[in-house]
Amino acid sequence: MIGDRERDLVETLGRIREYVRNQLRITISKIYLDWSAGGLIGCLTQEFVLKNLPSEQASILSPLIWISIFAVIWLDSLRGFSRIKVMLKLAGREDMLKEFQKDRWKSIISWIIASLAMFPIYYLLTLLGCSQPALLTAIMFVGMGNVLMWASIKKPLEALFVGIALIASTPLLAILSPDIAEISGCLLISLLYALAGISAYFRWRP
Amino acid sequence: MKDLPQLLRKLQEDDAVIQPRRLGILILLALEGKLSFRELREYLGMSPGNLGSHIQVLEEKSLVTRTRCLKRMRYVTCYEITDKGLEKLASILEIASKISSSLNKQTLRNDDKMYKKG
Repeated sequence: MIGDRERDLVETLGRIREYVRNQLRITISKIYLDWSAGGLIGCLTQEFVLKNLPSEQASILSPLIWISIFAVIWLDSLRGFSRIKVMLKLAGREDMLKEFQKDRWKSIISWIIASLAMFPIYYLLTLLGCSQPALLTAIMFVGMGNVLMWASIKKPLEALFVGIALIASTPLLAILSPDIAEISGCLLISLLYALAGISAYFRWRP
Repeated sequence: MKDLPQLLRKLQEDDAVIQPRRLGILILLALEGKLSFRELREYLGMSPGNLGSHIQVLEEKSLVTRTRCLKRMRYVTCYEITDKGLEKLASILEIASKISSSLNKQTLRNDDKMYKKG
């Protein structure tokens, strides 16, 4: 027969496993929300701080701020990915771990393809006389990268969702005045990541 | 239910790990990454001597390894879980969850019998 002490130990270990599974989905959502918050902080700084500075200073500070924001988020995401690997092992989801490792490479390749596709798109927008080719290219890069990534890891619903948001937003941003287009483009991308984070939290049920 | 004794035996096979304090150290290191001796002591509320002896056992079994890490702007000795330690912890949690579901089934069956008798 099993004693009380053993039963307690087994129950505690079971609770630890549940805790790990819960932490797993929190960590996954947190990665998305980090990107969302980073985008939001970047746009607000751009809109309310850098816009008021002389253009020479702004042109130096703007890339510096964006690069440092993304460097911090990227490092944090890498830490998150290694935690996810450990948690998947502890949660007994070896199947998901294999899938996760395969997905990581697929998503990296998707982003490389998306960035390569941006060169002709930028030149095409310039040739068409678009007032803000860089902004539209950046929005299309995020959208296309997301669509390719979600599609490659067999998440058709997410790919469709981002695709629709991209198709609906690009012409809308193009007809808006440049000032509104800039901030709303940034906010849209942040919102996209926040939604992805919230959906990941509910999808990764323990 | 037939495999419950077997599972219990398997769980108790490794005395070095099936010990609440050592399990606590392994779980903390798995979830938090590298931790200094001081941080481990604060998390687990253990005396330095007690923690040191548990870590020594885990190090001897190659479940935990010693490394240097930057904490509060200075390098200190930190501990991290090894791949072997992670595998061991994952297998313990797996066995515990099997035992737990086995026990739950048995409790349900006993409740059912009691209900029918009553």
